Amino acid sequence: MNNTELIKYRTELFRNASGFKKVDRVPHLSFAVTWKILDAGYKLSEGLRNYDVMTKAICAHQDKYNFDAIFELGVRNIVRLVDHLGGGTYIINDDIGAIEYKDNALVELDELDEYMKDPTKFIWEKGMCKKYPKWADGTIAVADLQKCFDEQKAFLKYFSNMKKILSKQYGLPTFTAQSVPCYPGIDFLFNSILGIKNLSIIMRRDPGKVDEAVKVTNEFFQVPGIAALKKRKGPNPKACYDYDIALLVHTILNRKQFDRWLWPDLKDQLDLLNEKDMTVRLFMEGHSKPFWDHLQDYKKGIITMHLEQDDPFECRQALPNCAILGGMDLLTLGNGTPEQCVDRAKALIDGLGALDGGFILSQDKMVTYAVDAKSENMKAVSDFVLNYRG
Amino acid sequence: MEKEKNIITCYPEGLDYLEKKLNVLGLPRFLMTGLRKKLIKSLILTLARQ
Repeated sequence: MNNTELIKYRTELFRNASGFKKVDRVPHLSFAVTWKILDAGYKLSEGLRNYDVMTKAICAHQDKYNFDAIFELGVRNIVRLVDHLGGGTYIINDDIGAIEYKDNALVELDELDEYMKDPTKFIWEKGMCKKYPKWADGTIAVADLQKCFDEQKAFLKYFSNMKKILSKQYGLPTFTAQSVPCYPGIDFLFNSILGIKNLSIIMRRDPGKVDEAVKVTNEFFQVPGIAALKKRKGPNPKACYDYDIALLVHTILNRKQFDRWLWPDLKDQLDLLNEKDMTVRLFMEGHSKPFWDHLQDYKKGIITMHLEQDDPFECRQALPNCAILGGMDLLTLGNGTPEQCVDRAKALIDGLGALDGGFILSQDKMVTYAVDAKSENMKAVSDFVLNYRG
Repeated sequence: MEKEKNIITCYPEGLDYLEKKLNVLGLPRFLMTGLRKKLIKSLILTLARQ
């Protein structure tokens, strides 16, 4: 197959697997993030701060493991953008090959009313001060922001070039056809606005205020995202998936809180996707099992559950309408032997009846640290899944 | 005496000011003021999140 044929083949492989149609083999997705940089022999700071190095690392990743699609193209941690302002949330530690993420609230609890009155004004005037000393002491200049814009341009150029290389040189398809992000307000409050600590406190102290905060925060991503989704005509057969939803806040929500603050916005997205027959990768970090019953009535093949800490076999029993993505656990990839890894992959494919559709093999977590996977294990699984026909 | 506030850090004054001063991805001024402002707001939001 030439690369154009390969893109078509791989796209259909994903679409057939998520749609519970027979496949000649199971598709294999890379969910590696910063591991790619370390595995290619670079330091994290080299990969994250030099787009040529990142390009080489991603190409080396595909050369070695021959995935059917790569989910993350070096865009999770855009550290160069904030370097010019001397601040940000990430701390790169090359000694241990890790990125630390500060739980850095833009809004303290005694500022929540002010934030809700005008969220954009608050983030501009006060939120930015908490991230960037130059903004706080008033020494920020037009030239600093110009550098950020130029950096954003460089990033977009890198990203476009990366996609082109993967498509032209490797025959890799576009994974998701979604240009406008749709992001529930409660998750944005958790990740960026209030942070883990403040949100946890206010949910218990003043739930009514969280209702209001969700409503105003939805104006950033959820409301425009839903409007854009309403305009979509339907599935885009040129991409493996039509849509992508990644959530983290549910890891601190009990069932009552989930139903009150997350489910209404998540449901709006899923209902529209269901209505338009559009497929979605739903990645709920940690455990999603407590909320599975909400997903039982969606049409078969619309939702693909990317599982992190939940058992794929249990998910198949509970949600026979949802395809499963993941299953290849980092515990085995990082600590097991190649034989144990292949055994695990085979057990998943056979046990889930994956050649009849409904399963895509991938790592069960974002592969981040060097210890998350051994190269020979990743290779053994890739070789196996490319050739296994049952 | 109170230090004069940097206009960039004020909203919406800072947005108007930056719209006039910044080269926003090569988009022409005057013709695309609305889009330029939208992209500046988006950049600030991205920076605040990172």
